[in-house]
Amino acid sequence: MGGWSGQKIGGYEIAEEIGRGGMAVVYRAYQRPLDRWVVVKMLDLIGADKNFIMRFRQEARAIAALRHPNILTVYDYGEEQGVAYIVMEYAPGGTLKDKLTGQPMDWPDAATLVIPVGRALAYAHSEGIIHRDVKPANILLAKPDWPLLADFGLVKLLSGQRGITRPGVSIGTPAYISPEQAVGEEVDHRTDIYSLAVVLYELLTGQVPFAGDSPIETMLRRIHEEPLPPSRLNPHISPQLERVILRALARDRQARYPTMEAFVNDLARLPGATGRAVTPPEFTSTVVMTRRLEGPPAGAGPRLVVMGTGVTITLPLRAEITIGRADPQGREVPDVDLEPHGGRMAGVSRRHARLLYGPAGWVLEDLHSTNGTFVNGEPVLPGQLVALKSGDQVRFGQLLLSFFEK
Amino acid sequence: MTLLEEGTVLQGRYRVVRRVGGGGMGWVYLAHDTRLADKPCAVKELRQDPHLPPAEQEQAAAQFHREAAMLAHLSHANLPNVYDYFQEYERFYLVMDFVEGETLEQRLHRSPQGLPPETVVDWGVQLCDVLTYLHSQNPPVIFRDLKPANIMVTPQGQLKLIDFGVARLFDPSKGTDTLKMGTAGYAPPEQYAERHSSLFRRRHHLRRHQPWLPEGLGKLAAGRSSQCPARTGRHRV
Repeated sequence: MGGWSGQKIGGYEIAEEIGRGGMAVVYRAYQRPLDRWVVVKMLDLIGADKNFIMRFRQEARAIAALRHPNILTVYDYGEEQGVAYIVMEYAPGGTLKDKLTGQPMDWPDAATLVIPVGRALAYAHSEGIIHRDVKPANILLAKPDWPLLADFGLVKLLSGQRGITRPGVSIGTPAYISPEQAVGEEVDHRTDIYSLAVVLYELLTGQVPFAGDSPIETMLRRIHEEPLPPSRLNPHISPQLERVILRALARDRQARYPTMEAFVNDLARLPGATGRAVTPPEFTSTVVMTRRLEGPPAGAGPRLVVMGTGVTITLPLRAEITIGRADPQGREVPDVDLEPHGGRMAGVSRRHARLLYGPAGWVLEDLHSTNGTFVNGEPVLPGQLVALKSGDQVRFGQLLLSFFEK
Repeated sequence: MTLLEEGTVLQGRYRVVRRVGGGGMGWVYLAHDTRLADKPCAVKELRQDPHLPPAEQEQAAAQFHREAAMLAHLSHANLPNVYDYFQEYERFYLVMDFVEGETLEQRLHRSPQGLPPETVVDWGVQLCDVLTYLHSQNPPVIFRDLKPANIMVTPQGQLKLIDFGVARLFDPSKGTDTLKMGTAGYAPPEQYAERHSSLFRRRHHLRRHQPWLPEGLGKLAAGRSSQCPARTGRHRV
């Protein structure tokens, strides 16, 4: 069910596909009345398995009922033209999975991600909802230090409702599911405690506690083996932190924390758990103030079109737009990330250039990029501001794009 | 303007339960979103005065839409989420989170002796957090009408700023606010004087002008927030 790009569903203008999972396809879409990007997850009602349709509807209802700063907001649900769709908030930072480098992360950085997700799960549990598929791919990043729990596709309501999983069909992701979920037992909220501990283990050590050559082997290992103490893989992990992780990773759920809240509270009490200071906004100098000009008029969004692929990058409505490539840790994310458009191969620098909106319209400035910025073939010299008009060819390194003002 | 009756369904989706507020600019209703399992939502209606010249009506509609689009791009624990914006029967509607609880004004009214300092400091921290978020937008968003009646407190103790009706994007090129807005008793002097209402107002609000916040709150708040940046506040563009 590709091919929705360029079409409309429920009034949302579908742009490009950004992912697929199971039988659902995920698109980025534009909500014109509010002039913003949203995510539309679609399921083909005609070809889909009945269980899957039920789960899809259940997901929409389940997350719609949850309101938490670290849970992705659902805006709309509908069924039309043979598909069911869920409309959700768009998190521009991608998923935690994309940010994993295989390298160990410091505890304070891991804490800023895992603790809020744990609090979101504790809240979901208090509302009678278990997630059952906690993993890095389901943790979105609104900002590098602000995670959003998503994809309640496997949620199960606690209120005595029978699971909709068919017997013998274990759903979840092998590397992250709890032993009881792996063997197909009835699960409770403690399955999420285990999975979140796997995520924390992976962040801190660069690897999941149990990995096998096949999904079956991965699952069997967690049922029969103890995890390698994480401090063997990252010597900076304190004994207290290790104790908390290993307790949450206990094979027998009776030996785990009784509640997500207890687990998160223990994590939050560890030194360093308050994470890094949030950078205060720059309001100290008048220079900064005058830079912050009124943005361009709403609805008349400028855009860049990638030559060759024809992909349109809609530029955010603001007076200063940085263009570059996000680093793998997501510490520095430019407003326009050219990484998904082949930016690295084309020699785009992390902070390559920026667009500024002023009384004369849009101007482009090179930010001392390695491979240079060009407008219609002419290089943009250091310190030079080049005015752009619709149809101009802009080149960052070897990456060629067309600029359109409206 | 006539009130929507209970049971009225807007856009085939939002079923009106009752009026919960509103003022000069229009009513606010509690409604149920029938597409999302009857989740409660707040539906804000723009009241148009048919006696006004068309140009002024248009201006009011444009301002209402600006409020909607501005809020739709913001996401913070202390701000309501925006879901939808539409026009029906020549009226405009904005759909937001329904915030349970009461306004700080109502809360204060219930406690004429004042509130415990810890509660007030926690509120101050939340306010600083959300105002910092608004001011760090590009361009900055100025709320312009901060007062207890525009701040809700939920049963869980979370504050939510409501009514962005007079908020606007900061434009340094403008010398003066074109209209005198804000509320007497809470608006700083420069909002009535010649100078442009600027970010400095916020400091004024927090330090000097609000009898319900203790002296030195800014300092306290700054100390607290730098110690706990992992608070689950939503900072995002």
